[in-house]
Amino acid sequence: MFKHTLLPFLFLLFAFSVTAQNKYTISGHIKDGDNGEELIGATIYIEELKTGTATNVYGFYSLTVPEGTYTVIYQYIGYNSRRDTLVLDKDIVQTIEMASESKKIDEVEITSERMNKNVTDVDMGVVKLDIQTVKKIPAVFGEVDIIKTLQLLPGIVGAGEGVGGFFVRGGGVDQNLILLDEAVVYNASHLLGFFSVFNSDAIKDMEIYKGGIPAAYGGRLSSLLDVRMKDGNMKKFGVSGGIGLISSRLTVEAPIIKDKMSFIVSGRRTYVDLFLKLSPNEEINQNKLYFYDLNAKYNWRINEKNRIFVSGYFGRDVFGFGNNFATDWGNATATFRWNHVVSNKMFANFTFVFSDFNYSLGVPEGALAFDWNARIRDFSLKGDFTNYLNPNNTFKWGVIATHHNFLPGEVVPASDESIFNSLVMPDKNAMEYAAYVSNEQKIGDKITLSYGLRYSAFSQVGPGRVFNYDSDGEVIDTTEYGRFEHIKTYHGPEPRVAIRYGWNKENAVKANYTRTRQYLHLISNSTVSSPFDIWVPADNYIQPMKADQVSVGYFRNFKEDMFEVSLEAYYKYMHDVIDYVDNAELLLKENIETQLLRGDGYSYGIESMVRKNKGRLTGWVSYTYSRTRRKIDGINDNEAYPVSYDRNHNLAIVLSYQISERFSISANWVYTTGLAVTFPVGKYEYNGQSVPIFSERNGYRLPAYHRLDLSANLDFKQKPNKKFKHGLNFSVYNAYYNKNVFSIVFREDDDDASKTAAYKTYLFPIVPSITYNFDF
Amino acid sequence: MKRITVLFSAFVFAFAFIGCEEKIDLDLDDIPPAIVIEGRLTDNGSPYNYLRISMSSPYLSDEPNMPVVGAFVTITEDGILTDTLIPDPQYGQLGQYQSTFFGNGKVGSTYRLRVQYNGEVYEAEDFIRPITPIDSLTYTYKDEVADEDDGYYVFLHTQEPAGLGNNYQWIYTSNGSIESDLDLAANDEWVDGNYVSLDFDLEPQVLGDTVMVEMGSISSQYFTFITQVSSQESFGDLFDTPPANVKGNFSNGAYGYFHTAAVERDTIVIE
Repeated sequence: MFKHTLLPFLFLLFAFSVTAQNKYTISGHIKDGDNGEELIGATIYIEELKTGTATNVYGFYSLTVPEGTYTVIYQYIGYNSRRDTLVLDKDIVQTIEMASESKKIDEVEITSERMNKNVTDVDMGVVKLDIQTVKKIPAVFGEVDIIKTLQLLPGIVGAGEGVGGFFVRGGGVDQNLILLDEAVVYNASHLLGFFSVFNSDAIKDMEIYKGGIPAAYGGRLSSLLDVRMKDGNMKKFGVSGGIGLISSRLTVEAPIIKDKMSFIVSGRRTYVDLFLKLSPNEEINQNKLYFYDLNAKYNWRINEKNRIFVSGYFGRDVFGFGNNFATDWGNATATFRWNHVVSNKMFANFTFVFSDFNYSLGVPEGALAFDWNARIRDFSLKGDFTNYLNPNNTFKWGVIATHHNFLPGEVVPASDESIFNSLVMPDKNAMEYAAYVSNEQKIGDKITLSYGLRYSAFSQVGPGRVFNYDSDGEVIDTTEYGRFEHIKTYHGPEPRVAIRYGWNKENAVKANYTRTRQYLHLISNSTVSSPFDIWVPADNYIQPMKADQVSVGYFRNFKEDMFEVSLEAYYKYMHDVIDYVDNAELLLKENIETQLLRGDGYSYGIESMVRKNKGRLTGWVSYTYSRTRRKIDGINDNEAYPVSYDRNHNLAIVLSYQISERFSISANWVYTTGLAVTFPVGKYEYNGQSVPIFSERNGYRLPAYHRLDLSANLDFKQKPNKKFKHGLNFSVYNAYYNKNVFSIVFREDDDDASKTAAYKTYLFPIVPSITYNFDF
Repeated sequence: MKRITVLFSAFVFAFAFIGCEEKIDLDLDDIPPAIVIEGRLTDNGSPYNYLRISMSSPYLSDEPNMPVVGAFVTITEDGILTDTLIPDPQYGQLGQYQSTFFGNGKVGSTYRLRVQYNGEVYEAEDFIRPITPIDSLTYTYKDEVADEDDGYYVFLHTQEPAGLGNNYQWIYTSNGSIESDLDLAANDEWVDGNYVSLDFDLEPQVLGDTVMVEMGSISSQYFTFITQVSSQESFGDLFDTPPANVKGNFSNGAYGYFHTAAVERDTIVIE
């Protein structure tokens, strides 16, 4: 009997002494040993305690555990794992450098602690895109494109060739929050979607959140694409670049003070128009068609606790059609950030952001000469804080304030003979604010819970004017507002909750619920978006949108994380989405609210993916089935109708095979249901002209889209002791020349003028390309 | 305004140099035939008025639209029955109806067209708005430039009355035959209150030609109808607004439009 009571007593004593033990914190940064770049999401794991953490977007980690001697394992994709013995008898601040993985293709890495991040993280609906993977995927004109790669993932579709933007889980093209070093990028596509604005040479990391958007982010309903630029090699000077058929790029990075201050500058330009100049046809050789972009970053590690980053992006697309028409557009962003390690358990980041997107188009001369400009410009200030309370709780909170300025359109006559009057749509201004708190909590080793609340508010502010309408919809008068006077305010909560239950390191079930609010709408004068769409803020007549999304998923890894399998299902309900009245007139309409109708939308789907991460053959297969509808009074006789990008089947097969250390080949095949379109189902004559009668909105489909791309990459032998690396990349886009429909038009039959026939336009034939890449 | 959208589309069609076209077969689920009514009524004795009734047909069919011959058609002016239309003696079999009243409208009056056919009734209404007079017609000779032939181009000069909301349609004839299309129309949004010299952007004239221009005041709703019908000459391009049916002004599902106008005419001879 004594024995029975002794055991619990000893246990209590033990427990008591455990809790009375001191706790210490290890914290610091994890970097790439070669170039000093901080690693995002690198894991630190303490074997004995079976607990760990990961670095944040600035490479910082903090872990507070009881005093003791431990085996600490550091891991990151693409790097050799590191095991260190650590004697933790006081707070330790240390910077860890990790070595790039050597390319041993036959060896399948077996580590006792597997990566398994997709199973162990509570995040769901997030995919981290490794730049090396993206670079292997064959691309049109040999130009690596992040946005095209996103469309190979489940739940994300594009609208086809020639159209920019992407659609995530049924959300519109304006529902994606695209951030480049924390600055909002309003238009992420060059030349109508042929290339994205992201130069892969300047990018360090990319994550796409399709659901479960963290409380720290908001402003768009459907996704977060968080792109981080490289900071610049802290250790040595490096140049890399590529020369291709259509475009070329160059990146220069170097330390200014070794291990303390560095910079990186990266540029790209296309030169399609050089080929146009070769044409004898005057209508073609006078045309201009090019884009360029520039990324630059300066980074200063003042000391272990303070870091400053200044980054910027500037890009422009230029198109000129002889002397008849000219247009250009582009983004400019600038970010100033200050990381401050407040204590070894608290990290702070302060950011100031400037973001601008503008376009201009016009006719340079003659009676129809005009110049049309439009712009959206933001200034933001934000503070984000993380408190690493203990290994089981990471608490984040922060605030952000943004000033938006919209110039919806300003048209001025461009010559003396122009018949046009000036038309200037007045500026609109708005303030957007948000504050958030969230906690990620581990309960035992099977359950992780993430819960948070974001609260956002939006005010249209002066200077500005508001039209007042009578009951017939006619304008009676306008009200003028002064600077910063509040015209109309909206606000609301955005709860974000996620739970993960994993019964071992290889199996997990996750669920999440997210509410998001969006206060800006992208108004498009065409069926699909173009750079000339207009961003319009919520105001007296235009409501903000909100969405509720629920998703559930099952994640399973096989064979030491060699295979990852996931199955996710989601349902999203979007409130107050906008669509246009039939035959809407959106160009230069000051009271644009008269052309807009409001209603609801919903989308649901099942996403599946099988991914192989290791070995000679890597890649993935993803398949999504989804449906997206809108129901808006005044459209389609008030019946629900599919959105144009309701691409029910979305299949992608992406494979890469490493034949030898220097030679690899890749292929991808995509199959997507065609866009939903409205077709004519009758015709009549009016004044000698044939007038079509249309079907219900989006009642028909374009033929399915499918395409095969192939590429091969050959790295030339590197001379021993020389840094210079170079190689060739060959790619074939649309290898079996599928004439994918860009659009279908109905017009006079070429073979018989008395008949009408349907003609399909297709853009890209088979496009081979070769690029020479170098690095030193 | 339309010109800007045309140029905008031209920018997109520039991609045609890398885009190709191919005819395809499509299976369309066509609707059953529906009635279509076209009518124009003016003041000032215009010879260009009409009433035509026909039926719609399947979209890809090459058969001509069926004319409607046996309809019962009446017109009221300010609520009082003024005319019952009979099939046109010459073109009745083509679905045309004749009225002695069509050119005798009065500015300010409201006209209601009523068509009864196959047990259904279709009605539409419009009123005649005042029209500003044509100041003069002139012509100048232009040499061949880019896609424009050389010849004499006619200009119309008029003082656009101040105050937004005026909409115009012109009929331009050369030696008696109509050369203008339905879309020779404009509103005063960008030129309100200006003294305007309009260049019609039609085929040039030669010496000896007689040009007649009739300018009519139409409603903004009819102007919208004309603009939309003309823009639907081609559709389906992804950079167009999504296609939707143009809204006429008939009740009970009839397609087409009945419009009224006050008109001014002027003639010039190229000498």
